[in-house]
Amino acid sequence: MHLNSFKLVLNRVLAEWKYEFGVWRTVIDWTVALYIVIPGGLLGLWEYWHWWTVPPAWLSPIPLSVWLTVCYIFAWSGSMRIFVEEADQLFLVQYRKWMSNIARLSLGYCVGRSAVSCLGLVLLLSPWLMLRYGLTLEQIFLLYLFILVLKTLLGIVKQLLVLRMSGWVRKIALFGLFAVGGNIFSWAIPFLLPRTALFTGIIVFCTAVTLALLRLRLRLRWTFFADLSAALADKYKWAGLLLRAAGAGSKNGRPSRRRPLLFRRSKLLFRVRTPANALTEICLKAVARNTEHLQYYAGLISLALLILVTLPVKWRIIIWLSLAVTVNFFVSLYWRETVNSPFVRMYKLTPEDNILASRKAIFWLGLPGLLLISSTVGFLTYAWLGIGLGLAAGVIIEVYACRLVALFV
Amino acid sequence: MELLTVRIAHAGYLTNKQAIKNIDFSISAGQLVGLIGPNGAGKSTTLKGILGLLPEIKGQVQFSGQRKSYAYIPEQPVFYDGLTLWEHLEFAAAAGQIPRQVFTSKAEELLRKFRLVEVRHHFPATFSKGMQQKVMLILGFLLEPDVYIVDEPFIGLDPRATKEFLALIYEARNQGAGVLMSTHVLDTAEKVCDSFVLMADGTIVSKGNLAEIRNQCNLPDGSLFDCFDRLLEGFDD
Repeated sequence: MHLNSFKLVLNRVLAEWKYEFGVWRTVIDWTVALYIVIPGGLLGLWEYWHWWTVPPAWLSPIPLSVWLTVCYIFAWSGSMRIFVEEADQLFLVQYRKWMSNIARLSLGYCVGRSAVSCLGLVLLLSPWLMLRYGLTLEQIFLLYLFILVLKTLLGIVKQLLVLRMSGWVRKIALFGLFAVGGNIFSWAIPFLLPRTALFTGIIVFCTAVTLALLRLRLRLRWTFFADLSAALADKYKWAGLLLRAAGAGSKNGRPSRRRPLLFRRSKLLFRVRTPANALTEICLKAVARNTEHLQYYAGLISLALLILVTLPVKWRIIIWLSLAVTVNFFVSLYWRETVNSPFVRMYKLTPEDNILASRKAIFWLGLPGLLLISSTVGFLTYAWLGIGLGLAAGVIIEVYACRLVALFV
Repeated sequence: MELLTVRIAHAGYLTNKQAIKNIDFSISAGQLVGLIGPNGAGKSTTLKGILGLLPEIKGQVQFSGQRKSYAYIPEQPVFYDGLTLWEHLEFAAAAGQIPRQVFTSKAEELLRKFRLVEVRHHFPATFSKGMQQKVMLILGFLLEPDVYIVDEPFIGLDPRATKEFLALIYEARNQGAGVLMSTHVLDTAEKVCDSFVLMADGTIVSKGNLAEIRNQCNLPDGSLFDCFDRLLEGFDD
């Protein structure tokens, strides 16, 4: 049977799923799944089910604008990816029809994927939106459609900006788009929700603009290498970190900057130049300079804070300690990425140096997150006085948590 | 004085445990040995065996210099993406426990020689292939080891950098270091190497200095290229 562009894209999507599944399986083996992921998932489902009858009382003071901000950030995140591969430049790229079909099908797949993820978000927020803010099913459906269209529209506008601009101009344009879009969104949704007809009209209008931009995007002929770079970045955004941590040598891709923003003149972090200090230093610098790593870190800490304030008070201490270990395990991935990098492996370091460096690196990487978590626990338990207590306890917990985690890396 | 002795009965990978067989040679202080052979001859596997990177190995690899140290300069440059060139050097110096003052002056001198002073605070991952190869050489020469193991050093280097590299190798040998250099550039190898190890099909076909190799293949005035061609005639298939 002949290969056509549909089968080609389908094969690439399936290969991607298989790849992602394989990568996650290396992290979540059956013991982690049995003892952490499945019980955690069931507990989460049980809590969610409970929210449909009694939403958590502490959420009551939170205004609708906060949830709308969450929706906007969700719509902003992610990317519209074209499923091209490096080898396409040898043969496929000269066949415009194939390349055009690949782009069309890839964008279609991205919209479908967004439809599913938007549905997940709206379902998650529905208990509050319906019980606390009194939204009807019809309004929630319109909100869902609007977030989906907006996510697609923002995805395509971001891509066009990236293709047309570079450097600071691109950064300023993206920031401007994010800020202006966010302001319009938070103002427009409360205005549009009670006006169903107008809201429907706006969705139709935004859909038309999105389709026009998608057509424009499909007409661009010179985007192969930009598409390839974006596809690789998307493919490896999680998998790359996990594989590098496991020493499988996945590449980050060529850095976009020639010089770092932080420590521009290669300033030393540790004056005493022992092998352990040098190893700790390169791990800390590499994480501090990597925007993706920092985003994942911020995401994890935000999720941790959400869990802390959402789950019942009686579990707070256990959750706090569990989060301390989780944060340290998470940052240990960055540590493993460092020690397993081909460059570091060229140098023979003693096991003692490795252990000492792992403790130091994990401590400094985990500390900021744990201090935030601990001060939140302190504040939730003893108000303002608790922040100081939480910070002090956070440092002590971090000392032991990093030592515990260092035993397993 | 021998700095490196290689006696490998056989070595290889999990799927091919005898990728190389009967590898037997040594490198003395001040000696430059060229490891040559066609593609797939087993040169890279031999280097991996020497570096202790093969899962299957029967035999012995012994570094016997004063510090028992070596520097490996790979064909494919490897970097840590988030570090500047200077930070790579800092790490190498700390790992090799080079005193601070020695490191600073040596690193500055090497950067000057390879004309990389201006980009010392840039990410090497953004450099051209040739510049990256220069960084690998700098990292190797910074450590001043007993033995240099260099894989295809001439690929990607511009003529001036090749000249600097050869001058540094000459200097290192004068100071008593030994060098094992895997290469395909036979005319340069003929000029700079003291002796050769010629490999094919995972084993040593011939070894010795140019005169000895010429004798083995009955080409008294032949170039290394001619000898190489003659010795490999039986391995075409």
